[in-house]
Amino acid sequence: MTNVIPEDKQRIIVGLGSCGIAAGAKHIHEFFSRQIEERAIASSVELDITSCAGMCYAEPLVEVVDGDGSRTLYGSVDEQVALRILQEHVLGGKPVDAAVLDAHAADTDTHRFLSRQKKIVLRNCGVINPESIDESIAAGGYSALKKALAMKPAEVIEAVLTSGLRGRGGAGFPTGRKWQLVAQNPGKGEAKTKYIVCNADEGDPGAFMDRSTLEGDPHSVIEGMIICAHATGATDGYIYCRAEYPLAVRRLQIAIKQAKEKGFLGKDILGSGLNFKIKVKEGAGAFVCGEETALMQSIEGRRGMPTKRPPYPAVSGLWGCPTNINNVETFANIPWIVMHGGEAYAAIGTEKSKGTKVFALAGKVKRGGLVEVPMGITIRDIVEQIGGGSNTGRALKAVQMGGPSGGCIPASLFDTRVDYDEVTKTGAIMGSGGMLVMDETTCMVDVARFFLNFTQNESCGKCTFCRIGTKRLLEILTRITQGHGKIEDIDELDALARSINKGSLCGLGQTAPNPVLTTLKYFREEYVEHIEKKKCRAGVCKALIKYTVTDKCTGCTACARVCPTQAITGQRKQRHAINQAACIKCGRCYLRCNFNAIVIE
Amino acid sequence: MTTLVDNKVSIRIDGKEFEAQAGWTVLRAAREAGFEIPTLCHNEKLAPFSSCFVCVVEVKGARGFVPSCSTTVAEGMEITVSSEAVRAARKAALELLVSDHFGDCEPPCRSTCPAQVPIRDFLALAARGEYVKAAQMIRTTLPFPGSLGRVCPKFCETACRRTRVDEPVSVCFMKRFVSDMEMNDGGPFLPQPGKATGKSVGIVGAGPAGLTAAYFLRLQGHAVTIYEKHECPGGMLKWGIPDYRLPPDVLSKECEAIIGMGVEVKYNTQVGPNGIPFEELRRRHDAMFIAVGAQKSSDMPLDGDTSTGILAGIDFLEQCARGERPEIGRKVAVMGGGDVAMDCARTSVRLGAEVVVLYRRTRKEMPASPAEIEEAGHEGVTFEYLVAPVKVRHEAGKVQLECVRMALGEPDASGRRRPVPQPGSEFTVECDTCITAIGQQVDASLADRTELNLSKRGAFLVDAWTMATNLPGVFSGGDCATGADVAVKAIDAGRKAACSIDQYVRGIPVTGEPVKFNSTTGKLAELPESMFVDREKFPAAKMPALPAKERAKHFQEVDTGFTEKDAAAEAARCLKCGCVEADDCKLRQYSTEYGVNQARYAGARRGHDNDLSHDEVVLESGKCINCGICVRLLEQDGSYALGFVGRGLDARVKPPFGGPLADAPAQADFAAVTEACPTAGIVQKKKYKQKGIEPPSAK
Repeated sequence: MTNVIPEDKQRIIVGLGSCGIAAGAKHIHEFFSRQIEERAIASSVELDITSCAGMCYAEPLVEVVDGDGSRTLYGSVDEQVALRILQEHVLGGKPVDAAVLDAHAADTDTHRFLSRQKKIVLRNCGVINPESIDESIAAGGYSALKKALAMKPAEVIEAVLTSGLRGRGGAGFPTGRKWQLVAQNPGKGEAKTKYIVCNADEGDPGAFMDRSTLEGDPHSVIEGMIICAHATGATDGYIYCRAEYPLAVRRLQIAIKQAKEKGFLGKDILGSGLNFKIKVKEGAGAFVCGEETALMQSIEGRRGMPTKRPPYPAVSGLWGCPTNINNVETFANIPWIVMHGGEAYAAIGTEKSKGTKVFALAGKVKRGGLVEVPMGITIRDIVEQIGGGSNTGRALKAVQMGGPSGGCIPASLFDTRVDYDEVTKTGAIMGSGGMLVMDETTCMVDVARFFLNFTQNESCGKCTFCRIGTKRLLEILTRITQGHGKIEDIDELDALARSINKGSLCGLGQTAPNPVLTTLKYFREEYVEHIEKKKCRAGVCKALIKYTVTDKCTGCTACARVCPTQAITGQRKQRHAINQAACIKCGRCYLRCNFNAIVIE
Repeated sequence: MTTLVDNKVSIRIDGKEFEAQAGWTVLRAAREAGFEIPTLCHNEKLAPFSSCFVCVVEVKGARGFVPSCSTTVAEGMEITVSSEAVRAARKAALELLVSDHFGDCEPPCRSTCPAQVPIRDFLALAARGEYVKAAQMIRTTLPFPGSLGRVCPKFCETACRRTRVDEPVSVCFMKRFVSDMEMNDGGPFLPQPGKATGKSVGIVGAGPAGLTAAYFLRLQGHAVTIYEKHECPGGMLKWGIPDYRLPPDVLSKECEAIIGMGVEVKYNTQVGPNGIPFEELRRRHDAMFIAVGAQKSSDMPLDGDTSTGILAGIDFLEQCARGERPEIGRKVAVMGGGDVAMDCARTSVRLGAEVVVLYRRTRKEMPASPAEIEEAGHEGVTFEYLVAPVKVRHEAGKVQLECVRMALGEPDASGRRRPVPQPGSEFTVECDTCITAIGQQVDASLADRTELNLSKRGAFLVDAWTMATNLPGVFSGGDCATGADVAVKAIDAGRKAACSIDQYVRGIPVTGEPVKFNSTTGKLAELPESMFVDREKFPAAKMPALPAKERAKHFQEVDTGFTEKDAAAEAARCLKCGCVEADDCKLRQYSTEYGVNQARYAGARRGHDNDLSHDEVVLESGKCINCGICVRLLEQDGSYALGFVGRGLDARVKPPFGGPLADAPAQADFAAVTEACPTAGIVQKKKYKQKGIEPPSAK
């Protein structure tokens, strides 16, 4: 794949994205490094890093590239497996079959996970060393920039328009149109200042699409921004990235420095006369700063509070200058579109939703991870084929799309295609790519409560409906999950949710009620059950459940030993019992029991 | 007229065409066109902010409701500013805001008083020795300060915030005190009646409700004629309350003062089938107010011969009020547990009897005011609880009351536990006279041969706010609409009725007394301790009274009244609650306008949190609505003295970096900020003094 490394060398590549590091990849990397040094084989074995390949369920990942270029991917690598890889494969020439993730054999999990994906944004993620611009260039990086610079700005915009690319941050505004508006507006002042902002303030709980992209291939984003600068006439760029993504920030800074050195950033880029520089601005962690007007306030040094649109940023954005804001995924698509042409991109997907979409697939599925799928694929395909279906053996109930701003799509609508308009019709939104799978052990009232708790805590506190209204929604939901709900609460939730939606300035407030509205729409009976029967069918709401011991109990005493409140009593080899008054419903006994003798009522 | 002249645009507001300047906001354009749009966060000196969402309107084609303060007009824009949906959205925004508003517009004593007496303000006048003005202040809502200062059950004192420091302010005694001082000066001094309107109102009954209505109607300039069946005014204050509690001359002076405002009273005049037909009065007057009270004793609950030895309580009291001294013998049993029972018992003591009160529940359930029960005890009255007389026998010249013992069962409709007879517990009480005080009924006979609607219990059926009956121009209030109740409520009904009657005779819609929105910090017991920590303890003055032994000899007033020194000390105990901006608060104004209910979205809210560190202003964070006007003004003057901190419901306007407001830079223009604050989030210190309100204690 790459021509940077001499072909006769073997390479061991360790996946060092945040997810891999969390799973122990750093340790594995150190292990290989030590081994190579101790065994003095550095002349023939090169240790390299890459980033997230999306296969979170199989981290840490290690790839061995043999001298002939053949690649072998290993998953769930611990020190023992690593030692075998080194001894048996690298030194012995025989792959460790038991740990191989084979993407080609049709009946493997890896094949199922990867075969339905189409990688455009993530094309280099998990492939190149993100800290090496040379590897990026070797993989085709910055060739689109060269091509674009040879085109007229209007032609570039035309290609983006043709591609049908829509903003991947969630709202889905056509990217080409946005660029056009910015291009039309003269810049501010003598310097004709215009800005490009890359929104990398990924804040949805459970979403890590942008982080993985920035950690895995920061150059694709930078290249997309430079192309945008050329197309729109922008002079300055900001990447607004959460400070909680230290690795992404570091790799961005490395990439920007390297891009400057290569002449891709700075004055007279590649001799084209284009001047453009990029700064990384670290956000301090307010969810609302992912909202574009709040984001700009934050860059300007103010508290991140949204402002009214219009004026739209394209007219008056950062410091009053025309500003183009796209998110990470949107920019990462651009080089591919320029290289392959708008038509090629538009050939993928549905009538109104083109190209691919990256999702962070998580929850009750066998294979969670980062997936990039062509638009038009059904939710069922993502959940059941790529994700492998339920990991608990219980029936799947819904997916939550779009995080706290999104909504729940019930299993009965799993044939909904991934398409902006079709997803919106369900009451959810495409969102930035969070996809949380839920099964029968998920309580939908509790899900709504969880997301409302999030949005309430993250409300900037400006607008009345969002600041106080979401709190009231949360209070009602909490009341219901605690068994104190009244049947009128359902109408109250519905009415207040609609008021909040209509009476908020920014997207955060407007969409905050979506989890309530969609769960009410599709799972109303669960609300009614909580209120009237004081029952939580998923067994989640602690106030409404009771753990009891059935006659399957063998008297092994395991449950009694894990109970933190000594609520379980019983003689050895005799059926145990739970003292309900002392039980705090932590569920440890339920998880501990080997005989399924403890049930939730 | 859709021509586009220069920089003018043509817009439609509520379906009508208007021209607006290009660049104007919808708010500006609507206001220029004469439409009212409320807004809290908008300030003319500042760029639009759009946080309160009280100024929302609908714009055709736009999503949801749009804030008019930051939406610019555009050619052909169709705007709806006053639809039901828009009003509902504004109301919801206001209701959310007040659900997170920690403050009392009015002091809780006043909002708890059925007659809405401006207690804080009259106490402030009393503290300065301006007793006549204090009495006049009371009369702005209640024209009987002297009488009510003696007989009121003191609802206000149950809400008095001072209770959390030591004990409540003796509001009621203070009312009596200022009235006494005014009378010493030759008062009461009532205002001049209003300019004659040529309208005439007939009132049936010269009791507290009827006279109060007469007072307020005269102030409006309407002619008033009262038809009273007795020979003198006062109603149940006269006939039901013994002289030792309410000296006749006090009541009489207050009644006569009202009558002296030009009220015609026709005494000894029955209205109804046995007198002037009600319909005849309706023809005579432009409007009628029925305030006949509840003066008929309830049916005798005893079996057997009740023709001798048994007296109905209110008849007994009426006889005594006329100065008669009925023969009741040495031993008297009083049946009942209300104020009338206590009055009968204490009156009997004064007639030389040994008195036992028989009550079917326990002391805890007794409806009589605790002070009355206590005083009766002091005077030697004994109490038998859980006892119900059921039958009378006459033996050896004595009344033999056959009684049964009771036990308390489940709560009944009134919330009190229902007494249940205990089989086999029968016993006999011997006495000379048994006085029954088990309630009164409304004599609604004047409604005979009219179409007036009555309730199931025989009271006049009225709208609780306007006091309107089902007949046009006929209003009713007081005991005859509620059943027997306390005088202060009858007075409130009289004032409310006068307002409605005034509206009626002027031919404007009868909506009753305007209701002002009143935010409350909550129940006394649930308030945070921090509100009271720095208040000095100073127990209430004790009301001096005649020694118990002396009282039994005569009907002289028992309570002798505060000295001026007592009164000055007591008035100074008032915590001067309420809000300094109560009359200048946009939040209150709009909440009133939109009929806002503070409990609609009740939930967690900001608490007691004030910054008093600055010399000039107080930051009352509990009342702040996060409109950000102060933040933006202080940004403009370069001081950045306040900013937003926190998120979600906990987002607050505070000095930066958690410092005190005292650290604010000198260029901070707090005069402009306090002027612009739409509520009492930030207040000039000097305004507390001007308004007679105590600054809050710090957090």
